[in-house]
Amino acid sequence: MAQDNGERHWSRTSSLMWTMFVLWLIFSFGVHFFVDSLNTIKILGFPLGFYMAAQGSLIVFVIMLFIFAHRQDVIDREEGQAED
Amino acid sequence: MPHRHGVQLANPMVGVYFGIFAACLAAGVVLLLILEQLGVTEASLKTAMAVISVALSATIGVGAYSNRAREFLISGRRVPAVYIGISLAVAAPGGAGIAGISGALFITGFDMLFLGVGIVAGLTVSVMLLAPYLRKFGAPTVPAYLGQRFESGALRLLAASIAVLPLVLIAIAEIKIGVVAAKWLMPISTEMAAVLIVLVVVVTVVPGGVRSLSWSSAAQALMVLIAILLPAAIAAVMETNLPFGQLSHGPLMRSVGRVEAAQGVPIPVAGLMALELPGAGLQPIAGRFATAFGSVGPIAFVLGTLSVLVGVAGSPSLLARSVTTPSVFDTRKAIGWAVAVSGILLLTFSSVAVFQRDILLSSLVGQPTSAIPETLQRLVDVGLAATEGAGAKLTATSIQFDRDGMLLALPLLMGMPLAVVNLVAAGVMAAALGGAAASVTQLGIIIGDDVINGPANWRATDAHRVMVCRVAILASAGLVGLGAVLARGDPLVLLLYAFAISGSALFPVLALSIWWKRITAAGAIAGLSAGLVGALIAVLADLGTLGLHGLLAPAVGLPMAVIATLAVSYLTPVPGRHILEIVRDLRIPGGETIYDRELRQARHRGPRGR
Repeated sequence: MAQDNGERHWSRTSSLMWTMFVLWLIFSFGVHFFVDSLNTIKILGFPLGFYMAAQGSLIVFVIMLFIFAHRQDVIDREEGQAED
Repeated sequence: MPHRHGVQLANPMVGVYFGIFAACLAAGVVLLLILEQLGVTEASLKTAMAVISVALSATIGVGAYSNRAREFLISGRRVPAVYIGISLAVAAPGGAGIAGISGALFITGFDMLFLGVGIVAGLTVSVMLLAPYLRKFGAPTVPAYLGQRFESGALRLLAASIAVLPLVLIAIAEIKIGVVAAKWLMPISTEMAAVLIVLVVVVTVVPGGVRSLSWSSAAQALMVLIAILLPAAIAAVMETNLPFGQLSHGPLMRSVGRVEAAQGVPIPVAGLMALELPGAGLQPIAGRFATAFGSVGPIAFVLGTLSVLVGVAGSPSLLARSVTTPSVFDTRKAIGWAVAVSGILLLTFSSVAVFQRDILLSSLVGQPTSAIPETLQRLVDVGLAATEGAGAKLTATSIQFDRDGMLLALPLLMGMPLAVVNLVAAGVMAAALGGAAASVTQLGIIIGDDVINGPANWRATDAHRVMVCRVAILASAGLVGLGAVLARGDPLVLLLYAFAISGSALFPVLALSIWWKRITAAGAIAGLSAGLVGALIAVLADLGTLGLHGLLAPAVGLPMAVIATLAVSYLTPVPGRHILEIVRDLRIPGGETIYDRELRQARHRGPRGR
């Protein structure tokens, strides 16, 4: 039983990780390939390509981590693998 | 149900203590502001600032004295998430990164954002792939984790000898930048400044090891944040009428662009793989601020981000700090905080760079060399800028700026009181002291506990383990101090080389040790060695014609490490039952910390096969 839970816990944990990982890849690397085309769009007075490198991706990381920590905690609790 | 073992909650008074620390610091700065008005000499004000910052953190370090191995090695695993988060946010770039990145952004502009994005992305990937699992394992160092995870003494020694390299490089970089800040505050020689910094580091961390480090560096980090965010907020109000320059400097960029065009600031074009990092010391402005890929090519930008991020994620001292939390969930929270705080720091750097360009360039328009504008003159007076080689008409490109001093330049440009300038210098010094202390502590513990005590450290008494680590910390502090005086080198470059090594060799093996069950001890050994060899080849080939900058070494080292790990793991037999159990246990947050359990069992009936 516990064994079963463990495997399901891990498969849910890994799929959460991979989802986050792909998002993370896009904002760490993806956006920088398109700096010049994004720069034609302006947001808050910043060119968008510049904005994504200077601020956008950092803000996305913070939001991502909050969602990640919350989702992981839900998984841990539902599968009975949480601390406490 | 699984339950926590041996968790002691942090002292509930911790918040109060830090309130007192912040109040003392604020009182000190206000006092210096008053003394400045009363006409006390500049030199004594500066020395007072240095003494206040050093004394506050050293007191905390000494106050955290402990002889228990659990406290000395892992701070009792009871440091609250917020404190670790703030410390990690400052420790990831360290003093070298804080001074270097802010200056590089001013001199080069957009292209240097890869450094900041890399650091924040590295912390992000660490929370996704590594840190919570290493916390569940609970080993005090990265080599101890690898050695016990694979039950291999050889792997532990190899990991220790690799982890030492980035730690030494970072410690040297931090001492060097600390010397620069100390010399700004006090009239002392380079050697004296280095001795002073080593002494402060020793006094701070030798009494209580990681326990002293955790609390003193949280206080130092608080000071760094105040020292950087306060002047930036004042500058933002003066420039944009809003205190959050991080968000409001956008429209200013357009006017900076116009002045740059009028001043004939060049628009360089970099090759795909080019990487042009502004060197330490006086540098001319390299290109227009918002223009992408003038100094760093598009591919180099992406590889540079990759190199910094895997380096941060695999950094032995950052990982060791992120496992001192009370629980796995707290580790996730701690790094969440670190990402948020370091994000704010890096946004601040780019806004500060825009403010500085705006003030300097618009004051220059049409000035003859004979009449240097007042703002620039203030920088020239203190050696943060020079106008050598300027023709009859002073232009933006004929002025050189001190890369590592640009944070100090902001309050000077804005005409803020001297106390603010000194606060910034003390902040850079605090960041350097914290960075040096973190590396030296980890260096000492790896040499003491992983190498000298070795795999038999479960046999040693607490007092013996702590004593060996203390001596090793002392010795490494002395050696890196000597290294910092003797070795030439740019602190920012040393930091980036450290990232290149930890990212090439340690990160891939650490990630695979959690996410891939089939990995074997031999595979891990092969991965570590291949990553290191790959990184070294890339660094040395930089001199040749490959075109890959040495700082981008993980582009070669990382794939080599992964391939070697996979290949050798498949060639060796599937890991034994006990190791597979450890992996299964590692992946679940609940239950007893693995390191504690293994140590208890080893004491009970001797270690498992080594």
